[in-house]
Amino acid sequence: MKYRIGQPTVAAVYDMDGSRNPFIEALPESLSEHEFVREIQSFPPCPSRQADLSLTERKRGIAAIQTLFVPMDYMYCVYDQLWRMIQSTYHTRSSKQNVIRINALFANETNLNEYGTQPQSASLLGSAGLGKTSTIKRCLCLIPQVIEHEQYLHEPFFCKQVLYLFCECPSDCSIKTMSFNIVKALDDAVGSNHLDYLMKMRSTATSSIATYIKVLCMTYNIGLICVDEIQNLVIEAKRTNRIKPMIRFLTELTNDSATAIYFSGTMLAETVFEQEPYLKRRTRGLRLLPFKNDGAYRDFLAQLWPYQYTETRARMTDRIANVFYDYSGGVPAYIAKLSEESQVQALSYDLPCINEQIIRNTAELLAIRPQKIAMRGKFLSEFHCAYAQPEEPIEKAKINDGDQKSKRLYANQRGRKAQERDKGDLIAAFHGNALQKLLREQKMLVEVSIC
Amino acid sequence: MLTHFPMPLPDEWWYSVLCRYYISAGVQEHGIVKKELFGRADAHMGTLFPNGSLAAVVNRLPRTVFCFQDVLLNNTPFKYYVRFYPKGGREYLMKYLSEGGTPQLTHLWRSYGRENWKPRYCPMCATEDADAYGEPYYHLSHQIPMVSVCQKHHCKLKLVDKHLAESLENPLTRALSFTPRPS
Repeated sequence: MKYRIGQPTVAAVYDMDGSRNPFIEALPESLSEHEFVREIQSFPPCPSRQADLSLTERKRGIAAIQTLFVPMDYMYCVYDQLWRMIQSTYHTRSSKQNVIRINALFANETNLNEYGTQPQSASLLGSAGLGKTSTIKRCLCLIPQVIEHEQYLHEPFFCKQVLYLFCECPSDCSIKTMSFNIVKALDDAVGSNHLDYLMKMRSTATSSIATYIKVLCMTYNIGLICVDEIQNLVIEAKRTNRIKPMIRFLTELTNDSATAIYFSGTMLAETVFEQEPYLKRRTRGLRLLPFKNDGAYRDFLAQLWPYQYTETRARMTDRIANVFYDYSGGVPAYIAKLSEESQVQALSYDLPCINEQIIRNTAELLAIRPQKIAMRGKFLSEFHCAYAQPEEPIEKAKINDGDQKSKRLYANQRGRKAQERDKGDLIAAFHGNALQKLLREQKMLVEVSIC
Repeated sequence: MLTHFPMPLPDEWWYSVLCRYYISAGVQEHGIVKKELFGRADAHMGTLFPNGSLAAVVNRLPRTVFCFQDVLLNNTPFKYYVRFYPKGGREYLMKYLSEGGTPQLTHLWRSYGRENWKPRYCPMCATEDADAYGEPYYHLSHQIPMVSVCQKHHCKLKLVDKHLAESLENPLTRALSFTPRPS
């Protein structure tokens, strides 16, 4: 590996691939899916000798469940997309183009289109609690944030290349606050004081702040800006009836500075994105829905299951798994929360382990109810299909054949119980395709009707 | 420490490097940028002979990339002015400047009056530089007093406008005004 994973700032190492663009040559390598999973997963140690733990140790262990991070199949898609967006930014930008753009901005020349192509933009939307923000943050952590250049091809070359910035869309949707968030993220990354300068500037008009941000994007060679909680746009829009200024600001920022942009948030934002064709084009990407009640869900639950800090570990039965699903709706955050809180409830009632009733009571207590899915998207379980392998379990394959409607393969059979029949029962033998065999064994007659 | 700074281009005058820094900083208020660059807002940056502000800036840059001596010899007319100094005098001046001192040379404007001097540029160099680097810049070789012709293109050097030359010493003037534009 060129750069050690987890280091936010690294000294540039060049590939010398002949592109003669230091920004491209210094970019980090992409991880394989296997390496990616190994790096982002987080499994705290499972409890051992549960019976001997003190109450404090149990509660401490329960609190540590929040540090658990189970890699899912869609996460590599996100990582891959982010990595490619960063790459493409530097393919459309060189030091000379940056200089031309900065000069044009300084001279208030508005026609910048001739200086480069449009940057990439995409979005990741999905129900709350699926782990979108954590995924993006973990994916970005695998990429160094700042590459420091000092010498390229034996010539001094002093500049910083900021590969990405992560900031949140402000709750009031103000362009100024958004600008401050971007500058703050930049200051944190490179250790500058631009936010102070921005505060001290006499002209705090939105246009001059926007120009300032654009120049900074080019001076620091920013590759990607991730804007989280983009659904705030809709919430604020409903209140003030103004949606466009913020989106226009971000679009203009990325167009003028040739910096890629990645939005993430809940599905509420899709209503805004689909309003205008130019927005729709720029905001395509993954639309995530929770787990279906299937093998992928059970795999996720199985990875969470060892983290039980009660006296004994409850057995994961179909009934318990279904109760978890019924209340969580397949949302990973709710599943983890239910697991954590039901253990706390079990401890407070001196129960040896969690059970169905405890889980139900906890869900009622915490008002955890499944969300209604009223949007189009891809279920977390469906990402197996994209990377289908021959050894995929049959039960998962069967489930994935289904359409939008979630199948309850693990649910208890409902209705009246089937009557038990003895071995010689003809109806039972007929249903089991063993009728002829039974008749021969019992030396019974077979009536054959010839028409 | 400064987090960004333009690399001096071939034969670039130090003042021009500072102008390019202003443009890339994004802030259009002189005082703020000067404080960032020199640590104080009243530093004189528009001087031909280097002063204490040179060390103030170079000390804020990584030593592995920027060497004070290289900047002094290649981006200021230091060599031109001290050409006939004894070795000890040159070394003393260099050390004095590196420590942030501002030497007062009595002969500085004797051969060529300060009032006659203005920043100069070659229009052909400006066009070539804009093509090669994306922006034109002031060449050091053009700024030496009494030089009126570009060594490379053998054409007459152009002087910047009088009011711009006067505001070279005015810290509130925007940097862009001093950047030569290709004609």
